[in-house]
Amino acid sequence: MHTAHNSLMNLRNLLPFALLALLATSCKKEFDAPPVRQLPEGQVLTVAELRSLFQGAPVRFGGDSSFFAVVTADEQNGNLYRNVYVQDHTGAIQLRLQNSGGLYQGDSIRVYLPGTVLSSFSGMLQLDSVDVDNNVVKQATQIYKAPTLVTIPQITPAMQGMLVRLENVEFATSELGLTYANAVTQQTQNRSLVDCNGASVIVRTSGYANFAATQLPEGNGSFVAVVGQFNSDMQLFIRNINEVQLNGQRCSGGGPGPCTYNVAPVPSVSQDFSDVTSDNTDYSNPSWLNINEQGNRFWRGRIFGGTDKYLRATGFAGTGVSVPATESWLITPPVQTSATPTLSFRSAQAFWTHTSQDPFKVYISVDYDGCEIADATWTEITGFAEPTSSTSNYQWVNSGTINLAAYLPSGYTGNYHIGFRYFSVETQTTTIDIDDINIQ
Amino acid sequence: MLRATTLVFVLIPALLCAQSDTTLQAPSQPRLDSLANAQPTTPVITVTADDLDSEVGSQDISGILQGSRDVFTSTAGFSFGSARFRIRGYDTRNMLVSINGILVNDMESGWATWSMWAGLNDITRWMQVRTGVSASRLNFGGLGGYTDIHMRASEMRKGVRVSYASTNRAYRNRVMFTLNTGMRKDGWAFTLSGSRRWAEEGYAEGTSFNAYAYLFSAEKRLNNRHSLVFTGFGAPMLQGRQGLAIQEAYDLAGTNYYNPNWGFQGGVKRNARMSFDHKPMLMASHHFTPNEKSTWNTTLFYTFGRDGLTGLNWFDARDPRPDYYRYLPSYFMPSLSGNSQDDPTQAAAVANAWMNDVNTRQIDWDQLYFANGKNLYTVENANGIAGNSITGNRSKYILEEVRADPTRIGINSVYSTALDNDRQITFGGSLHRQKTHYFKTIDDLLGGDFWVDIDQFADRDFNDTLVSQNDLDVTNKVVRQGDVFGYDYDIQTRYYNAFTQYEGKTDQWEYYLGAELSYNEFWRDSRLRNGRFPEESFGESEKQQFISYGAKGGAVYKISGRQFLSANAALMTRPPLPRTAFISPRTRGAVVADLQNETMYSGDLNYILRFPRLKGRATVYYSKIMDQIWSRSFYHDEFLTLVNYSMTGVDQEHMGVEIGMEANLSSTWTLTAVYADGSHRYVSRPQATITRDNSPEVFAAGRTVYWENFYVGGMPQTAASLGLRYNAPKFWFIGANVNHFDNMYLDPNPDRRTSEAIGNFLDTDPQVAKLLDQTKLDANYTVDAFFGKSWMVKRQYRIALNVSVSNVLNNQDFRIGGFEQLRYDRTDTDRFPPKFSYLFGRNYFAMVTFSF
Repeated sequence: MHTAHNSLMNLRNLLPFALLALLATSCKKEFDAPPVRQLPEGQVLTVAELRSLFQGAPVRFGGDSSFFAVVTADEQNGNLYRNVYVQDHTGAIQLRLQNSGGLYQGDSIRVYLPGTVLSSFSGMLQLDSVDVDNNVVKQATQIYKAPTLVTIPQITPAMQGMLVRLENVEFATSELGLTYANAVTQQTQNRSLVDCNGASVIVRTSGYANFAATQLPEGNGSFVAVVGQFNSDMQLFIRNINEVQLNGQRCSGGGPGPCTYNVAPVPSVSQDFSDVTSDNTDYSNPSWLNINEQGNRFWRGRIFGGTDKYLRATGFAGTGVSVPATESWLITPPVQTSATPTLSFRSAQAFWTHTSQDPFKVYISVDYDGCEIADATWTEITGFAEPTSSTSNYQWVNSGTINLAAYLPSGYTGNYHIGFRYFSVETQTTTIDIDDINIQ
Repeated sequence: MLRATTLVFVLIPALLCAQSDTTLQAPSQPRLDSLANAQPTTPVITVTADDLDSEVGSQDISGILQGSRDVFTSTAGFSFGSARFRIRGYDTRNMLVSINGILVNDMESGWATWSMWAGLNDITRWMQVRTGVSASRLNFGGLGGYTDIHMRASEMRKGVRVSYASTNRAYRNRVMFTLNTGMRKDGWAFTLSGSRRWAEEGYAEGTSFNAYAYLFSAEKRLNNRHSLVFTGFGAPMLQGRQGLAIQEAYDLAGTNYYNPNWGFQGGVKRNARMSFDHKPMLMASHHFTPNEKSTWNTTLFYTFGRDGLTGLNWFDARDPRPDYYRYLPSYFMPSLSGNSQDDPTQAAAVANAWMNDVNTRQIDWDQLYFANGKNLYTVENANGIAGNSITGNRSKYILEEVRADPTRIGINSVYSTALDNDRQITFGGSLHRQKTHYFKTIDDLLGGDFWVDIDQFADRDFNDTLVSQNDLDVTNKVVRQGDVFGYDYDIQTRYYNAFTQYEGKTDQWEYYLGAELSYNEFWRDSRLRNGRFPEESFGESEKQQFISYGAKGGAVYKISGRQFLSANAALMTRPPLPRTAFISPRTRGAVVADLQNETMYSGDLNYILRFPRLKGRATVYYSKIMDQIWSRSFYHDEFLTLVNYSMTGVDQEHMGVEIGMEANLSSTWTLTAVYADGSHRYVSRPQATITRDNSPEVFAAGRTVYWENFYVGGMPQTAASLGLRYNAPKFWFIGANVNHFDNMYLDPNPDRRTSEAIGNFLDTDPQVAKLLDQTKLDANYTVDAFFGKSWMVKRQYRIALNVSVSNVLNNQDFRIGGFEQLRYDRTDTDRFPPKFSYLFGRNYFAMVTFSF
């Protein structure tokens, strides 16, 4: 027994060291980066030389060869999918990709041709089966090609794939009021772009484009796109909606189309926004106007906890992020003046950052025609309860009953509009919620 | 002679101990890695081959009948574990695990994280395991029972034990040593234990294992009444995991153990899903014995560490996972829905590549490096700084690590005293505070220079570029290896409880009553402001608070000294788990609607035999758990994001019978027979909410899921075992078990069981049945065998050899689990077929132990 105890003591001295030795071995090992293979350059072609290789039958590339070009249109806005356009000093071509993604406007690339196929699809020459991972080497970024200035009649099959700019063009009068494509069913649509001489060209837009739901601009101006072809039709594909600047006077002399507003006056308003159908999307109601005067934001419908519905406006785009001025208006339908006109609603604030501005104001107008806000006279309504910088976030504040008679001409019996204006500027981006608007 | 025989039994490995007189048993639930369930691309647990079920033993003190052994629970652990049998169908959340009475189930997920002490088998085999509602002087216990691991230096068997084991399961080698000094004359007792388990490659190709474990415990007896104990342990474990695949992939690869997680990098196998866990626990205890009748034990404890799992992520590039459905031949075959491409030539080419090209079948790492190494990109206004341009190779593919690092601190105190010889009363309470830090880091840029922290789908879907930012406060964030990105938040949990228990006995009766009251609070606290949710994502969310209670009682009636009847029952509530309560915790603090306590009740009736040559138990049980939340997130390749599926009002019913008998046919032959048959079903119609991580849009709210009477998946609901064992008089034994399993299902995909899924199909349309029918796995059986022998050298050194072979018949077609993919095509359910996991083929565990 005694010997057993001694040996035990000796072992005990050794064991901690053994344990430490075991633990000292690192658990996690870094993997070596493997040597990366290089794509050989081989014979170098220009885009024009590449295009000339097509003689009616698909060309499958085998031996080492490459061409250099710059990406002029990419997939970022959703209008193009699994294809991009590239161009060099000799010409342009459409690349059809095996997998979406990876090439961006301004990328200066070398396309290694083996594995790709030069073919024609309904008249459009394209380099098909381009695997960005395996066929493309990027040489530089932010090499932007300037669009070539052309007129509509100059858009011919010879222009295939080119990035072009058109001046003094407008959408056909018959299509005004339509959107670029059907964003709901995500169907691609063709629209007609015309010049003042009556020449026209198709503008084709995917239902997946991020501007598919945007209404066609009604003015005349400049337009940048890449050129495609489908059989005998020439087509234009917008690569960036900001390059569509159609805000001048139309050929016919009229400016952007006439404003049409024909919402019937209502005797009272009881609006709890139960018609909000999806959370955090721009509020839409045929009788109410949701107008963006500055910036690009509208009042948005919110659904909290599945049932609580209200509207929210905010200029917030990140802490400390300076945003351009945002001005969003929500305007009631025309309301018939009652014997004792009153207004009540509730509002809330969150993350108060306004210092020099008032984020939320309520106005009344008797001469607003449903079109330009600036063209009407708006009187600010004051003296109601509203959240302040010290109110808790999202804490509803009831306005109390506001007597509107004080803001209407004496003896007035006509209609009026109430406008709820959200305003943010720079880093003053307090969030405002409104709900339960009642007008008697 | 007699003593030596006992030693043989005591020191054989735990899985064999299950058969021995010291009554050791495995826990019913094998180790569940706490992250496995949360991994971003696979919605359901992918437990890899498990080593613990073969090793962890326990000291069973069955109910009030102290010292009795239970054939059923030991066999269930030993023979049924590999087929994922769960006692009474309960998941790990219902099986409370404690160390020295301290609850260690993760506060946030509810799971018992066995990996925390894996590899400390010499210590943890001294466990107290009770099934179902029972009396306990340690804590209130759970619905399914509890397991308590007792770690106290002075109570460990004195001596030294060194062992080496060879196996071909998750790991291949194990060395372990343990020293216990026992209580020394100077009042100190020490325990030291450590192990290493490793495999360059485990049973499945591309898996690996490298784990250590350590424990140190020191006890100082101050006097007869007071003792102080310090214990610290940990188990760093790095594991290359096995992934599940659909049958088509298994067939093409030619093995049901095909593992999509690995690929060659420079000719070396690399696994994309590496888990690296290390969560040490430190405890300081005061054991106080005010008088001979009373004990008062108080422990301060602290747990911290990491829990990480790597995975591939990619931006504006193809899915790099080899078994992505569009890379399989079936994608090019004609389909019902017309959604796949009908191109038999391409299908044949893909099938050929799958069978003959390892870089098609597995991840092609070299290709990922190749693509990353030439993807020049300029990030403008990088890191939120106007005019700051960074140009370099932007990684299209990265390896990211998803982390869930817990920190937990608390105190636990239990006082128990005998009122007289027949009555005992116990009071206890504990305070727990846990913070689980969730974030992602870049593990490897795979040859690129940086990654940009923006959401790719949001990037495409909105005109507003800020929407795509994952961190609005540092826009266009350029991240590199080790940087945090994506999300970064804590889930804070508080749990305070108090319990009491009263026990009494008469000549004919033993009985107990217990009650518990607890307070629970949790919330989310995020460091990032997310572009999709600028107002809901940052800072502290609303605090969710719950008060829960429990009451239990039970009695044993002694028909004679050999036969007993017992009954137990409990009614309790418990708070919802933070893990499931948040709809999309990665992006916002919103919780499911009408968050409420879960309510459950349970009862069992037992008939127990304890004749010298026939021992056993027969039990009937019933439990119902109500108002549970069920939530899963899964990657949807068309939305390029995680879709979150949450259901509330999930009710579950567990009922069945358990029978275990052991007959000593002679002094050397023992026969065991065990049978379990249960009905574990969902019994309500939950309400589902579907959201996704990169859009505020709610896909569906209040969608009714017709889930009534669907089976709870992932386990055999019927299991039986017949075993025969020969104990030779000369220190050796041999035995075998034949096990049968039936009624195994995959957990139902809830959305396939909605009226939205059935849509306008006619009742007679065969697609309706395809959508609704639950995936059932084939019944199957296994044979296990074991052998052991020991030798005494000079009457003080003992050498033991133990070998066990599982699945002797090498059945490689035994599906033991999997999941129905949450993504589905209602007009073509075969487009996203279930993924399966298979029981390992013939495998062994052989160990040599040297002890003195």
